[in-house]
Order: sequence, then C-alpha cells, then structure tokens
Amino acid sequence: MTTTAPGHSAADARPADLAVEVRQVSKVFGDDRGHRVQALKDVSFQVRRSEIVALTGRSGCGKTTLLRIIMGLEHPSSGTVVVDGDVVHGPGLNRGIVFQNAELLPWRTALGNVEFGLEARGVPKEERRAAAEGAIELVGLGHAAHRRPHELSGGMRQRVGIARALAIDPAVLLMDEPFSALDAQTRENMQGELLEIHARTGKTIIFVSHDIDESVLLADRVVTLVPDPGRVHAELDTAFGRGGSLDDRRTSAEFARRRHELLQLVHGRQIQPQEDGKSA
Amino acid sequence: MTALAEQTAPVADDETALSRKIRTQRRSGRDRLVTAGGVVVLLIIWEVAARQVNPILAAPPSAVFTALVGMISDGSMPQAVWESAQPFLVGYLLAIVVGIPVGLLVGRFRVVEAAIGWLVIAGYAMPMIALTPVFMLWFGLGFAVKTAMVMTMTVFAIAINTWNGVQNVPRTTIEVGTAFCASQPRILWQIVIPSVIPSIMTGLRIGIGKAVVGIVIAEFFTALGGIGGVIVDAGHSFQPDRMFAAVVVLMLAAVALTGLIGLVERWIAPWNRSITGSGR
Repeated sequence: MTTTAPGHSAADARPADLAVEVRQVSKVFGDDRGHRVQALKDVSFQVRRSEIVALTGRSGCGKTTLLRIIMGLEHPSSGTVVVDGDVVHGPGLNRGIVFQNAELLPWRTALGNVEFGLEARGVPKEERRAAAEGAIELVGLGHAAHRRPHELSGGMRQRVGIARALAIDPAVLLMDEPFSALDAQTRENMQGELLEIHARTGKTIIFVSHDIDESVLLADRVVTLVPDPGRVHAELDTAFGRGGSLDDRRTSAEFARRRHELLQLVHGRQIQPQEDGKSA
Repeated sequence: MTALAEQTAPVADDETALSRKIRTQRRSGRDRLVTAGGVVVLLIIWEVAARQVNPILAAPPSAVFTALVGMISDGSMPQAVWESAQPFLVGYLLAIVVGIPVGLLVGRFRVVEAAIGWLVIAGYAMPMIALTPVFMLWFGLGFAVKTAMVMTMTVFAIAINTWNGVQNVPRTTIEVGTAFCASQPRILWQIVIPSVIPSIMTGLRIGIGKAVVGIVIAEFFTALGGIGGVIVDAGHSFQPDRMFAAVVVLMLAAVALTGLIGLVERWIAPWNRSITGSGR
C-alpha cells in the first residue's frame, strides 16, 4: 500500500522511534475584519527517526503554516506537536530551522552565522567555534568560512543556513522550501548534498516543497495536504532505490510512477493506476 | 528581493567579483575626471562673469581665493571656524545621543510610537528656523543658542530615519533570532541594531546638512562670531570676496563632514553597500 490513512504508516512504530508526532493540529487565523480562516483542520502524522518526510500540496493548503507550527513560530489553535518526546510550546533547540532564503545575518561571516544558534544556547566560545567549524565543513564550505553572505552565491548561502541549523545538533531538521530560490543546476547539486548530509548525520528531516519531483526524489515519505481547510489528504511511500545515486533514482521507472501518483494526490484525487502498470 | 538576488548570483563568484571591481574602478576614474572638468568650467564662467560686475556686488574666484588666504593668515578664519565648530559638534552629538534611542524606541514599541511618534514627524516636517527668536529668548546670544539650533534641526532627521530603519527590519530576520531561541535583548543587540545601522547612518548624513543650516541660521540671527557671523559682516560691509570665502569654507566643511560619515559607515557596516547595490 502506498496510500494510507493519515498517520497510519508510522502507527506501528514504537514511541521511542518517533521523532515528531503531529496530533490533531488545527489552526484558525482571524483577519482584521473578524473573518476567520481555517488554515489547518485536524492534521495528524508521525515521523520516525532518521526519516525524510516531505510536506507538499498546492498553494493555500497550509503546508508552510504546518511547518511553522512544528518550528514553534506559530501556535496551533488546537492539537499538539511532540518533538523528541517534548510537547512544542515555542521554538526550541531540538529543531534546526532552515529558511527559504537562508536568512543569514549580512554583518556576520559564514562561520559567525553558523555560530549564532550556539551563542543563544550559551555554548562556551571554544566549543562553539569547534562545533561551527565542524558544521561548515560538513556542508563543504570550509574554504569560505570567513566570507560574508554577500560574497557567497545563493547555493553557498543556503549551505550556511543548513550548517547553522545542524550546528545546534537538533533532533529534527525543518526546512521551508529550502531550494526553491535557487537556479535549477544549483538546486540539483543541493539536493544531492542534502542526501549526503542525511547519510552522514542520520538527522530526521521534514521539508516543505511545492516541487513534486523534489518531494519524490528526496523524501522517504510524502505527506500531501489539500486546501479549504488544509488537511492531510494522503501519504505516499517514496523510499525506493535508496543507496543508488540521485541520478539513478531520478531516471528509474519507480520515480516516474511515484511522481505520477503524487501528482494525482496533490490535486486531491485518489491514485489512478497508469495504463501500463498498477499502483504498487 | 533576496530571491531575485540569488537568482542572479554568480556561480563562479570570485571571478565575477573581480571583474566587477575592475569595471567599477575604471568607471569611477572616468567619473572623477568629468567632475573635475565640471568644477573648472564653473570656475571659469564665474571668473569671467564676476569681472563684469561692480566689485561691491560680486567677487571672482581669484579674489575670493586671495581673501581666503588673507583671512587664514591673519587668523580670523580659523577663529571663526573654531567658534562655529564647537556648538556644531556639541549640538550634533546631543542630537545623536537623543535621536537614535528615540528612533529605536518609537520603532520597536507601539506604545511609544503612539505617544511621541507624532512629535517626531511634526518636528521633522516643521521648519525649525521659526523657533529661532524664541530660542534667543531662552538661550541668549552665545554658545547655548547655537547648540540648541543645531540640536533641534538635526535630532528629528536622525530619529525619523532610525525609526524608519527599525520598521524596515525584515520580519524573517527577526524570526531567525526567535527560531534559534535568542532572548529579546539578544535579538535587539544582535539583529535589530545591526540591521538599523545603515538607516541610522542615512539619518546622520542628512543630519549634517540640517546641522549646517542650524549653525548658520543661529549665527545670522545673533551675528556674533562664527562663519555665519563672518558672512553677515562681510555682506553688510560690501566685501563679497570675504563673504564668498566664508561660504566656500562652509561648503567644504559640509562636504568633508558628509564624506566622513560615509567613511564611518563603510567602516562599521561594510556589508551594506553590497546589499543595497549602491557600491556599483
């Protein structure tokens, strides 16, 4: 089965294996005129440790709002989010956040930016420097550690953003459309880079993407949301062909099939088998 | 803004940065030549025109230069500059000390904005010259009234630019602090204030112009010493060469001070020119 009821696929996992649990989360926004907009309704899903999960859906489906709730930057109107066994009440250092446009501090060097999260945590200077250097090496930017953001290309800036999130050694990496602002070539490089980082660190990763290909390619599982009100439509298992290269994965028949299936789900339909094959 | 910048961000950024630098240098060299040519042409026109006019009404540059040398060697010009410089500096520093914190508070706290925001706007919009007679009643004819004029002319420009800067700090930049669990004071010192520095520097640069007007107005009214006093005396005694000499000194001082602010800005906020693109 590829489509399951929300939360089902991880339901058999023991609680200790769960990195993130989203339970019955709803979010209602009120605008200035007193209109109330239901952005999310009863969203539930689970993420196992070391899993890569994509949240995807058309614009307005609440995927970014959902991620911001997991980040702790928004509060749910009802429901709870549990990360690493702790209920989320606000931002926390068990979650490393990667912003869409990197959002580096322009007056700090790459290394200084990576150190930012560690400073807030009160890590001693020596230790901080060592952790930041480790993180910046991990994203392959050791040579550019002392450059300022304006001296870095878009891809390099986003690497610094990832290093900053990794430096605090979070349980979960949360990424909001991390590669959407990059050109196609750079995006492909960064996607490979992310999987490499995942292989080396084993971090749990949740990312938001509106890019069908990217979701299928990078994630082990894709959670699709549909709008009005934003809710989980289905989950799709995309953990195929692990261990091969990204290009092998991208050109495989399995990729094409999953991509086709995800496209249907994103549009709120159920999976229709392709004429030449059956829904796996 | 950032999305666009990243799309256009060079892949091989070292090479591009270098070629950009060379292009900039070539262009600024040519620009400087054009500027020098403009100055020379203006001086020639002035020289020719002024020689046609009654010498009690106008003075050619050559006569102004002779007068200037004479005023410097007899010590009257350095003394006038010194008399103006003291209230100028004290008033300007007072404006900085008051204007920046006021701007930060009005920008950061809605209550403060509601309480005194209107006062800052009114003070900036209103011609402070109108207050000169009152200031003379309050502060007499000496140092104090000059300082007060400089201060009131300058403080609102600094405050309003700082305020504007605080309001333009991107929400996402502050969110970086929130996401990495930085405390409110950390967010203020590590994120808000560095972000506002370019706006503060703009306020300081505009403030120089305002402060120069302030000191000259005060000296015109009181007619006691300083460069403004020299101008008034020379005008009353039909000595246009001395008058223009003082005007030239005033102009050079204002340009030099503005340039100095630019240098300070590049020193404390070197990242800004490359972000705003003004360094092209």
